[in-house]
Amino acid sequence: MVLAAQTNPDATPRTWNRWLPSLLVLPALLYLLPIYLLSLGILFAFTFFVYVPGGPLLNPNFTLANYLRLIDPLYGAILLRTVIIGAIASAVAVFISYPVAYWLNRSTSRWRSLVLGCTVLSFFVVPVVRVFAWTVVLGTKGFLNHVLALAGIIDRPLPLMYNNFGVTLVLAHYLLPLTTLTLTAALQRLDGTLELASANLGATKTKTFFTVTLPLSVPGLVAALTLAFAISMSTFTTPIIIGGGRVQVLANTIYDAMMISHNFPLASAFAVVALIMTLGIIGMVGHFMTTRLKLA
Amino acid sequence: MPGWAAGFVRGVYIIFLLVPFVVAIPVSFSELAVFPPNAFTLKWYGVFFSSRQFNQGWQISLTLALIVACASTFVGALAAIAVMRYRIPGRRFIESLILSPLIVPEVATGIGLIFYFAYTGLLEGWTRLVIAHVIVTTPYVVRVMTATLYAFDRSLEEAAMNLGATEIQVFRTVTLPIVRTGLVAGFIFAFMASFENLTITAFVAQPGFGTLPVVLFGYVRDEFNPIVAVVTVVMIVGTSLVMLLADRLVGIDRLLRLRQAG
Repeated sequence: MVLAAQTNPDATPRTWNRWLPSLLVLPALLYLLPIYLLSLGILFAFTFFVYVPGGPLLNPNFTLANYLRLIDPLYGAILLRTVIIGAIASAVAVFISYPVAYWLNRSTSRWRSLVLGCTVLSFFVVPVVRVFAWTVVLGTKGFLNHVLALAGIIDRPLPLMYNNFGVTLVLAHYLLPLTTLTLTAALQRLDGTLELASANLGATKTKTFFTVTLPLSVPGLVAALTLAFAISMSTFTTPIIIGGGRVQVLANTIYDAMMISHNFPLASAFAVVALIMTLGIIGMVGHFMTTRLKLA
Repeated sequence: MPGWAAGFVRGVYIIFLLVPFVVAIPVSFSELAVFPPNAFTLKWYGVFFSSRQFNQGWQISLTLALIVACASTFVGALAAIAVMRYRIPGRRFIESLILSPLIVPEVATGIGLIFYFAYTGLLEGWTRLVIAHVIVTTPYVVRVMTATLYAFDRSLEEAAMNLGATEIQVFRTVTLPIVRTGLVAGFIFAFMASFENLTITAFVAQPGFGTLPVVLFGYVRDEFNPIVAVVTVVMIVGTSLVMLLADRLVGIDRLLRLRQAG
């Protein structure tokens, strides 16, 4: 998105009409304007409609009730849980990814391509599969309970699924390949000579890490965190499959309102809330990056 | 970071990343979805591969992903060229519009689209599904193509022209070979994004258009058996093959670099 702003499209080829290049974006505009943009408009309009159970789809009586539901303690709790689970999962994913991403950029070990290969592979495995593969790990008769019992740590199976813990863990796993690849790309720009200079000036490894490497990694860390958090706001696969209806967050509340209770106005309002939160976070982070870190 | 701590985190990383995939292998041969497996059987592989529901899901998903990847590579490449190389009116707006589905949560796009289709009654079946997917996959093509064109050295084209090549010769022998990597990478990303899409499809697809992710999602909510593990194993093998192909065509490193460049 930043790229076009940096380029300087020089003089258009002389023989071409000035308006002719606009035709190149026509195929995209042909569906984006009348379908995509309009459907977002309809979505927005729907958030102000009154919900009549079993009533007609179109019921244009203006109300703010759908948004006011957020003040309702029940939905407020859902929103809070969404943010907490999303924040923890994103933090865990980024925390584990960071040393790996750093190592992927510097290492010449033969393990490097193996770790990178596994990361890319799991990045491309269909997300639904990545999520439900966990059911045989976390189930009462699953892998993890078996291992814990063998180790003598537990004597009866722990509930690892259908709760906040399971959803957070699987969400972190879901985000992991993405945060690793994002951080790996970001850390590529980290100048290794600065670390060498720090070492030459007598800093210990730990000191170099905290005074040179980590501060220089902040933009990448922030970018990865933002991306992970934005995704965790609106993915319903993990809460539905791993939460099994017992962990209500924003995304599966929207899904249920849409597909089960057919409360379309509520689903729309919450989808718009998810949209506003995503845009808000990205906007805030962008602002922080440009003002505090002086990154244009 | 101290060496031992970093090594420890790397170990945690690789175990955490792979554990669900590795556990799926023995469980896929089990009679029940338990660990350790309670018997050795190929029964669930048989059930999976002979299931009409899953076979139809494969067919629809692969066909759809192929059509969507072709369409969005075409649309996205043209748009990227227009945005990067020409001073077209409303350039900033058009670029943001095309890329915005990356930021707008898919639940919002999906719900908006289903309302739109329900009201207008426009576009049925395949067309509906293809358009919905193209909206969310084209941004990947545009990003990859923008990165490719950004790195593109126009003086190469000028040099060819100065040496007497015609515009068509320049396009065929200079422009296309350089841009081809971007096209292939964009195609791969669009294909994968369409193939794995659940959110948009779950909302928009009409009955009889259950793609593989939608069928799988419905299945795991109703049943709990080793098919879950079978699908995991099959997907890992399938995805590995696609990765090998992508590595041959573009190279994984270059693919990753292009993906990040937007």
